[in-house]
Amino acid sequence: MKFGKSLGRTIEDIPSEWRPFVIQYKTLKRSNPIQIRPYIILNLDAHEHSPDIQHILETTHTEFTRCDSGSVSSLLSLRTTDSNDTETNSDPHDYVTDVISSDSISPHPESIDQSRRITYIKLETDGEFFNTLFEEISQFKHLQQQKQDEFVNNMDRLRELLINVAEIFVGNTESDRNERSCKNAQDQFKWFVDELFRTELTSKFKLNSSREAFHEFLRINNDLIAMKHFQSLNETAMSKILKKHDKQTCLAASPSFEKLLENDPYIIKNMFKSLCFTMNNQLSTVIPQPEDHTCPICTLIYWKPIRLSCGHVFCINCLIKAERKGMRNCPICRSRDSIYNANASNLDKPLRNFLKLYFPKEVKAKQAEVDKEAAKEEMDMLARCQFSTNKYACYIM
Amino acid sequence: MSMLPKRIIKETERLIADAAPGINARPHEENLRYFDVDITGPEQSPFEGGIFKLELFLPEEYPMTPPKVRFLTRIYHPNIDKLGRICLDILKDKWSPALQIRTVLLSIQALLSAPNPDDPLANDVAQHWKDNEPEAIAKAREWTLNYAERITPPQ
Repeated sequence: MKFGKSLGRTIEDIPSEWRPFVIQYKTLKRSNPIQIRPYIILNLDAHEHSPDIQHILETTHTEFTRCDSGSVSSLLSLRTTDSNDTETNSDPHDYVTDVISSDSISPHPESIDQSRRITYIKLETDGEFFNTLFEEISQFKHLQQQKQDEFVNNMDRLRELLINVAEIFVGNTESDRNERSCKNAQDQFKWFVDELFRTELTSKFKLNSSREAFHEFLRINNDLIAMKHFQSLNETAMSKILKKHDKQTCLAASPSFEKLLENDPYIIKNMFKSLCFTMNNQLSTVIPQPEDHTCPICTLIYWKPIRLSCGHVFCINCLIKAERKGMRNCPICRSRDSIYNANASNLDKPLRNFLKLYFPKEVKAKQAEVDKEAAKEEMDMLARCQFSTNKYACYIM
Repeated sequence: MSMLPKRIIKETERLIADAAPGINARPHEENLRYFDVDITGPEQSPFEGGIFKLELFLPEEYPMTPPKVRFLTRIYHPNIDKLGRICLDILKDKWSPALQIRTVLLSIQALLSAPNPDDPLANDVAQHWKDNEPEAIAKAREWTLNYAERITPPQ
């Protein structure tokens, strides 16, 4: 009862055009069939007490079959063990009809397996309930599919926009990564937006189309989060109504119903994964990633990148160190005298400017590293000079 | 001791998280420049079925100087001597700072698959390989069984 109310309230957060697709919890609750199992147990008990036949009820569980029309019928399977083989084989039908007649449920062909038998009973009212639920879910799935297509289209559009706009700010990369690592992105997205406002990145856009791309990106994120919310709401509603159903009818139907859904072509749970994957695929190829611009020697972002005659790029510092060690050839392709012949003209200025623009944080960190190294070297040099003047002072002077 | 360069940290992380098949390298806790390495003998080589222990050390100047690698397990191989020293060009004059611990260990694994008696370190073994290769291979197999046999847990 509580959940029905809270569902009604949270529904208001959801875009109005999605509302009809929320599981009709209240309607389902009303159509929930009541108390089937006790009757069956009662009848079974009657048999148990009869002297010649003993049926021991082992398990009852519900199975589902799907008709061609797409509707679902629910079958109750009773697994019973007979202590007296010869007797039982003679009158299974009697026993079943007995059970059935007390319950206004139509019998279904049953299968017999020697000493153990499984009886299937078709449950009419129960089937109706599941049919409604199933319909609701397929509607919801349909909406999801539609939305997914929409997202993919949006992504394509955003991608095209990004391609058109050469100057996109680094923030896009950051948020893209957030989306990937954390599906429950609401908080992180909020943080991202706050961060953006704080740094006033939006005002730095020079082109109109980059602003457009940015808004598109925000919109996609918003939709995605709303969808996530909507989905989890439906999921809870489904599990709640199933629980209620199980409780009222004493049929353990929810595990098998979930199994039934798993076989569906559109698995609900994978939607977000696949969306993230699309996002990843579409965007990360367009948006520059710092990992694509790291020096193979220091494994950090290039600092004053030098492009050797063979086309391979390294930090200037790394090459100077290599040259001091007497290396002349390219560290990657061993192209002859690549390092030896390099000079100031080998500095890749466009790349350097590009890195400064897109990865200011990484470049700064690398700069600090380089400065530290230089300071250390200087100190070493100083110490060595002191050491040598002390030790060899008399020889030199 | 100075701080560990970022490159060594990155390489170590990747060695552990995404190990190359047949190669296992772990740094010592007290010295992160010193690695214990296990290389599985390559299939269809006389070293198949053996696990060879090596030690690997990254000198202060790494990656400008090559890592120092040595076999700890005895091995009958024309390019590896009694002390476990390895004759491999990339560990000496052909070293490049673009090479990594992973690539070095892969090269050593490849050296086990393709012994090169024309560039020997252990002269007697290389001669044996040149004079009578089947016999030398048999001996290498025997050594593998004796010294590098996989230890199977007691039943």
